Amino acid sequence: MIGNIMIGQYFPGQSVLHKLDPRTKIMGILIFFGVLLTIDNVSSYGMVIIFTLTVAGLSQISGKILLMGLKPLWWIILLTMSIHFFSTPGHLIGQWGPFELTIEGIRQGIFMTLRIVLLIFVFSLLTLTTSPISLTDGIERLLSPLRTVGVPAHELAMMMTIALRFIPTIIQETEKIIKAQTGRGADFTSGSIIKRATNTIPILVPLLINAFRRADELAMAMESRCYKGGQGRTRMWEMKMGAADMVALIVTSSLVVGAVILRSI
Amino acid sequence: MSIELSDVSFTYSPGTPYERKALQNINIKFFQGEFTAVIGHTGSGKSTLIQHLSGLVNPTMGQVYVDGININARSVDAKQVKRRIGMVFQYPEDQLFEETVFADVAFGPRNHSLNNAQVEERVRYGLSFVGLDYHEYKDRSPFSLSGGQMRRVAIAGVIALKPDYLVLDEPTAGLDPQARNEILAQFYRLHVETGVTVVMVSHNIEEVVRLAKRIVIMQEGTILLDGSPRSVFKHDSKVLERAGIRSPEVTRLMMELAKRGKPVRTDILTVEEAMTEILAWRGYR
Repeated sequence: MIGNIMIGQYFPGQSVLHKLDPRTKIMGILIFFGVLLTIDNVSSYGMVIIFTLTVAGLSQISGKILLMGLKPLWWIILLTMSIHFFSTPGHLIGQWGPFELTIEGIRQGIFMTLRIVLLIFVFSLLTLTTSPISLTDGIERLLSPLRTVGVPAHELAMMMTIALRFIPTIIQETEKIIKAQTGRGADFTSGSIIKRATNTIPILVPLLINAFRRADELAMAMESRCYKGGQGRTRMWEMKMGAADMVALIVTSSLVVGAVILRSI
Repeated sequence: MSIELSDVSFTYSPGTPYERKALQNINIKFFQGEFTAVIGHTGSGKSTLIQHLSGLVNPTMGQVYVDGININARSVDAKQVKRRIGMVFQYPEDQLFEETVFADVAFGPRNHSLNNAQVEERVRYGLSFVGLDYHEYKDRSPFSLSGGQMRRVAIAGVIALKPDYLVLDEPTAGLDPQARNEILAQFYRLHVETGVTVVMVSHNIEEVVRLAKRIVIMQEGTILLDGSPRSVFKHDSKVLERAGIRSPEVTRLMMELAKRGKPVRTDILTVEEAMTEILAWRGYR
């Protein structure tokens, strides 16, 4: 039931995309998002879609799994599309009561929908091919220049690592507690909204208590292994950018150039 | 009157790289009034198996019948029959949530819509089962108790349901030997006195041999051996070792003696039996 959450899950693999440096992937995604939010014509969207499909192909992850990430968002996508369809002024092609369908609306609706879909799709490609640990490592390294102006890069990354590390644990524990309370006759699937809300107390209380206990124990375990923040900390695996990373960054950056050229045509 | 698994398979996260087959084509029947122990290596599927018995997990394939009713169906009958199964999870103290011990033990009985007098009677019954004094503990917060006492309160919460089938997943894991013996003795007494069917997962061979009439050994999601302790442990220790199980120490001792040509039986399970057998061999009798 809860085990089916797809967003943010990592799929181990050996593809080119898996082996890229996490920093490359994060920077690439930022460039991609920048391009995606500024383009505004059919040929640029075509370019971005081809890029996305190529990257998806390189990831060697089955299309079914990639599309699963979009599933929980289909109604947001549908809503965006219909709002744009019916609320953009322009050449009228159909009218149902207050709803006016325009050519500009259809165009705008399809573009906006593509934007959302591509955004989520590419972001899930990042999390599917990058383990949470290397993702936070990458963020830490990218933020580290900001340390001089007081951004606690290491602490932020450590917090993210710990949070990500405990998501599966907490999901597992939630499942166990739900089972245990169901076994004692609790019913979480019927009754009024208020009744259902109060019914979650037997799940939430033990969950919170265990989370606090675990946080305490983790802090103790880290301290007893002499953890004292990022100062002077070295790593077991140094991240290295290779030729593949250079190629990836150049290809992604060429999207910017492509977008500028296609805009002026 | 039985719990029957018919061709049950269960797969975790199907269709992903994390896919794991926990159970494969399991056919087994637990009869009314039996005390069965399920043993096996970590990851052999024993916890998954017993979670199927209480209908908390839906099998990927196959059916589970309790008293002839398919408990995974969405029927009123299935809901009713699930109430007859009490399940004690591993580390059950993690499920405590109420402000007082009374309220926590009463959670199950109240869900079964009993009236206040009946609920109180059930709470007294549950707490006396686990050896906690009703007046001393009923108003205390479960979180102010020691680990062992919390475990007892959690078990009381299941016993208070007065189930016909009791499914136990390592109920004594992490307890000290004395508490362990006390709690197991209570389960055994309940089994003898009320005829409750018990299915228990355990890692402790010695305790299993003392309590269970029937032993099921799991290996990689399948049932390797199923039978009385004597018939199970007379098997070659290599077969058992592959499943990650060691025979009871006295059984291994007797096998070793027999291997060295001494005229002793090898289907010995307890120290007392071994003593009688060795004395007989040495001519004291």
